[in-house]
Amino acid sequence: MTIVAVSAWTIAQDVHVSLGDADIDFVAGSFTATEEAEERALEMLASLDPPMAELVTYERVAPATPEPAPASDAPPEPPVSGSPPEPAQSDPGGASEPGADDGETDHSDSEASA
Amino acid sequence: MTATMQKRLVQCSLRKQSALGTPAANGQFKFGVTEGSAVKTEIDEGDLDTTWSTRLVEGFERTGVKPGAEYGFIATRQLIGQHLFFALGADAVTASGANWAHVITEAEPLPYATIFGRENSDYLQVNDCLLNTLELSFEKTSALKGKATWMGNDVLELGAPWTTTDADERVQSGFFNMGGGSFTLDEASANIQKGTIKIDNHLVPVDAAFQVEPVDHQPGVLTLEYSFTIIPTDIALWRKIVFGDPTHLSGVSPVPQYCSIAQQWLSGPTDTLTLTAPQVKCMVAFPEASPAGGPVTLEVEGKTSINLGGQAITWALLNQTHFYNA
Repeated sequence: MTIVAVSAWTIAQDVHVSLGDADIDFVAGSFTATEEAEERALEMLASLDPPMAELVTYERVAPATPEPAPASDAPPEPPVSGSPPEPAQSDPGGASEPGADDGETDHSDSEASA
Repeated sequence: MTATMQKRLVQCSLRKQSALGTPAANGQFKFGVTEGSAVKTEIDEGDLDTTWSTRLVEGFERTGVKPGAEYGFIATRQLIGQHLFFALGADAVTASGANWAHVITEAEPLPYATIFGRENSDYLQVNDCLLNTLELSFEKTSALKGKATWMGNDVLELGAPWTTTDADERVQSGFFNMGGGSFTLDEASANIQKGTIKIDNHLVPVDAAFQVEPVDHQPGVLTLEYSFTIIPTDIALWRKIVFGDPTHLSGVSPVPQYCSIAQQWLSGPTDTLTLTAPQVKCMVAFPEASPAGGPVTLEVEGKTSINLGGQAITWALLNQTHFYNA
């Protein structure tokens, strides 16, 4: 299944980003990045050392689309014995608020509409 | 009698293009150079020979024309940021009081520039340029100096002088130097005397058979290399690099040692330029002895990699330019 990520971003302060040929102006506030260049620019901002990383907080979630029903009632396979748990992804540049999504977790369950 | 040309009458300017194949209409800052030339054309031609009834070469062929530029410049307040942006690819800008705060970092892709050059009464431009190398050097409190090489796709002779939009960048407008600045190596302050920092994008021309000039350039590996001369108070840095620990007294480390570099230059009361490289592989030669005595100096050679947080090099710049775009 392909999950199309949707990112909700908060910009603390107006910021202009030149990223290669693209020039993008972000106005302080919350919005959803729609263009690939915007997404890349925001991720670049979030990955920077302070003070720039402090300008950006974001949360990446899956689209609010219902998951297809499982084919059977069989329980999910248990994890392979001895395999380590998935490591938690680090917060890029420490930009996210404590407890915020790190941008990598699949939130499809929590976002699925009833 | 016609007057000969004057070497001194050379001016340059740059501006970011909105895309490959879309040259800028004018430059941003006009500046003078310390060496090199505003426009460079490398022409490759070879013999095209056959046998004939004489022993002379039958003819020649042109196999390549590589437009570009190669010049030295003084790191004035606005110009240094423009060159660093073209060298690395990303610039995020916010306002900070009366100044603009730039954070310039490595990113893909690199921006294209149009380079404008003047040689006496001739005005030229080179389109679709990428910055190949940028070498910065400093010594004591002298001005930070740069040397840039560019590779472009096309060179044009203009029918009228090119123009610029921003104030001229001249040395009396202010330049960066180490006076009042700072330097730390491996998070410890060090007395630095001089150094060079080289950014190399290792551009490769994209040549096609249908034209003599390149159609584009593709960046290769990005290397960030440093060479510093410092005056140490002990050999702790050498011990760390050899043994892996500044206090360890035996046992050579089997792996390279990484150090961080942070360096700041100043210009006037408000403008600062700060380099931060968190993950630099450093090499240090053991200090040389001399019967003449005097302070020990260490030559430090470094090369940056990207750390696990995704950071390789960050240039923080406070100046009066909002952005370096078209």
